Amino acid sequence: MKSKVSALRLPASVDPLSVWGNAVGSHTCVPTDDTVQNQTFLDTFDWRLFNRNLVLMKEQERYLLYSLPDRETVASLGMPRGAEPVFSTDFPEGPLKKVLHAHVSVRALLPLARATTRRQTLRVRNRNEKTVLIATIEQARLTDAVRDGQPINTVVLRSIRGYEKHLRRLNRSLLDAGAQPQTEDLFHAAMRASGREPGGYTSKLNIVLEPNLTGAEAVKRILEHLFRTIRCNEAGIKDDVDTEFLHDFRVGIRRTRSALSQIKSVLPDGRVARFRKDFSYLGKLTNRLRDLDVALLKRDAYRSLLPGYLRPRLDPLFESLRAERTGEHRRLAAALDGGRYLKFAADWEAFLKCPPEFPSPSNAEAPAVGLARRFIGKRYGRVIELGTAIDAPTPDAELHRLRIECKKLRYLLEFFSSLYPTQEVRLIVERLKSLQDNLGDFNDLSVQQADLKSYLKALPAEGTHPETFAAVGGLIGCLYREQQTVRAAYSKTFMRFNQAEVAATFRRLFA
Amino acid sequence: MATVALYNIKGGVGKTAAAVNLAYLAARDGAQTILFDLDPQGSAAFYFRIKPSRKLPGRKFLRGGRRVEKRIRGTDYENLDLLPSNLSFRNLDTTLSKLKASSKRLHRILKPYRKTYDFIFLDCPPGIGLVSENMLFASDVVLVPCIPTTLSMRTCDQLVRFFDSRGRDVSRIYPFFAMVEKRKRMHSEILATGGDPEQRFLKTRIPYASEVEKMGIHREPVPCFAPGSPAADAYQDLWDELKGIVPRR
Repeated sequence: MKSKVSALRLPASVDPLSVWGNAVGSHTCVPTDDTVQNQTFLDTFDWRLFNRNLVLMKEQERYLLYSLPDRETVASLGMPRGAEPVFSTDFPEGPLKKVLHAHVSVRALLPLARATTRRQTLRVRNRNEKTVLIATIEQARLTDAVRDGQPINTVVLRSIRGYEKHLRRLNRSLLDAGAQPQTEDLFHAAMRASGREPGGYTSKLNIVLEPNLTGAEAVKRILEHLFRTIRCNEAGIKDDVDTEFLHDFRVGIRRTRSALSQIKSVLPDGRVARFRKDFSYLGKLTNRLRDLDVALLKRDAYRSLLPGYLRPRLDPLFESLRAERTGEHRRLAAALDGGRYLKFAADWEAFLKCPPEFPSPSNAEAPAVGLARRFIGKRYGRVIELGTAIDAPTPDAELHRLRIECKKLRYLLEFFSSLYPTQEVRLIVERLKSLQDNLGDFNDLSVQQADLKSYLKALPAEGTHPETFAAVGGLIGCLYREQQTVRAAYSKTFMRFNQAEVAATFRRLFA
Repeated sequence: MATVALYNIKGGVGKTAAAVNLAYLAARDGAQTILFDLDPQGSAAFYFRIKPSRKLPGRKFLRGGRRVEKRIRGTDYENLDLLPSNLSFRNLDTTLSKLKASSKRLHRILKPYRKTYDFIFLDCPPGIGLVSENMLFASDVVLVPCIPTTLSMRTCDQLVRFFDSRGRDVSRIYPFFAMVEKRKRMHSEILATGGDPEQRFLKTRIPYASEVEKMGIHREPVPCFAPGSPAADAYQDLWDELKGIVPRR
């Protein structure tokens, strides 16, 4: 049976030890521990742990993953001094790595806030000198705080089984002395003090539109939202923190391009034309780096497809990819600091802020709801038309076209989802997503095979170990097989999307 | 994981001291441990500064369930709980004889605790009767402290025979030498034989040491107030040996 725990927050103005002294009365207290430790709170840029009610705290050399609000330990691990794991894969095998990997995947764990806590542990004893309660007085100071942090004083009472009445009594006296039940974890206070808002960034689109907005207002709001995402990923790309900064940056760009081309006659065409070029430039600028990231992330998966003796033969491939990546990254980081990008960013921001122009384009004043219905309805029709036409002998290029159409439809749905009932949009998006996953996998496997093919072609016939050819060839074979499986699953996936229920929802919402 | 009883027909052979120290060492090793003090003298609870249970007379104890659970106390040590005894436990034999399935009662009471604890230690009262039969039925290992004297060895032999005659599995009974005084000739002579080979005496010998007696003054397990003493080391050895014989799950 677990011991009962009560955590109380003491006002910062009073000395916690004197409050404790008054509350504890005639009980004897034996100090057993007095430590000062540094805590660092870590999470990914997109709050993957926080979003699952988890907190990762590093205390001295120990990593502790606990859940909120109950502060239950999920996993913990001591690391050697000086070890600074950044990715879940940097942790040694064990429960902590397992849980972290499941939640944070390829994202880096960033130190977000720091605190220093003095912890005094006291044993409260009865007349028999039997311990009846263990109290910990914690005085936390938030270091490198943006705002001047006052100390956070907490008393944690832990009952001993069978002696719970002492906890109840002491709890009452502490409350009488001005203590408050602890409502928030140190994590929240630390985040506040360091000026961060947990959950503040997400790569998901959560644009809120009101039904009475005009087309121009709605589109600008969508574009502003996307631009914020683009900008806040810049620093992470430049510092090369993890691969997902670039990914989110690129998704922001793709969504923007999609919005600009699909939601027609809402923004002044003449002024937007230039930005279309800019976004297309940004897409091309980042293409290769993303491809390299994806290929490098595939390393373990590729290795696992080959027998052990062929695996080392892939090392030169990944080394060459890594070398190319270093150059690509340098180029992109320079471009993000360069004149063209900075000018574009300033101009685009100014354009989004400026009031509507006259004469306004034909759809600018139209209600956003109507526009959404028209555009989404049209795109949906296109997806169904293309998707139904695909069967076994259809050339791969058609699947590629369908993939693009699906992407466009998905973006439109997500831009305007706040105008429609959540449940119904969720059903459509969920089915569309599985279709997209299938088409995406198919496309990725094509690209990967093509990449390997060109690598194979470039290998010098002389001086290359035959096993290298075997390894790359074997890999291509595996990927081809996998692609066949993915293609075979297409019709079933499409049928699920083209079900009567989904079609009816589309008709109801967008026809 | 395992239920371990400390038992002998004779009193004053170091049962409680062994139970307290073994339970402490198990908990210190990280095992969730509980010590059931079945001896009406309540010495085990005394060593942990826990008052005897006034609200759990023997007949209620034998009914098990929530009544028992409510009387469990946490000791001052992490992972270690204790059920204090009650003076009325002196009548457990008589109370048991009035009940159905009178030799399986303890087994039934302990059942829920086998799930929540890794180790259950039973500090049994001396004597031979229904309580001892219950103890044998409920335990995976029965440790029998034995003073190396002729009389003690005879008692040890007696108890094995008794259980054998009742058709009980005696293979889980492991005697060990306790209160050993090497300077006594009889002790060293019996030790030299290593005990009856049929009875599989454990290798560890607990010395007759003032530290063990001082447990009553300090009211703590020996390793807490006299770490590194011969007695503390001997209990550690006994614990290590015990880990080797408990059935693995």
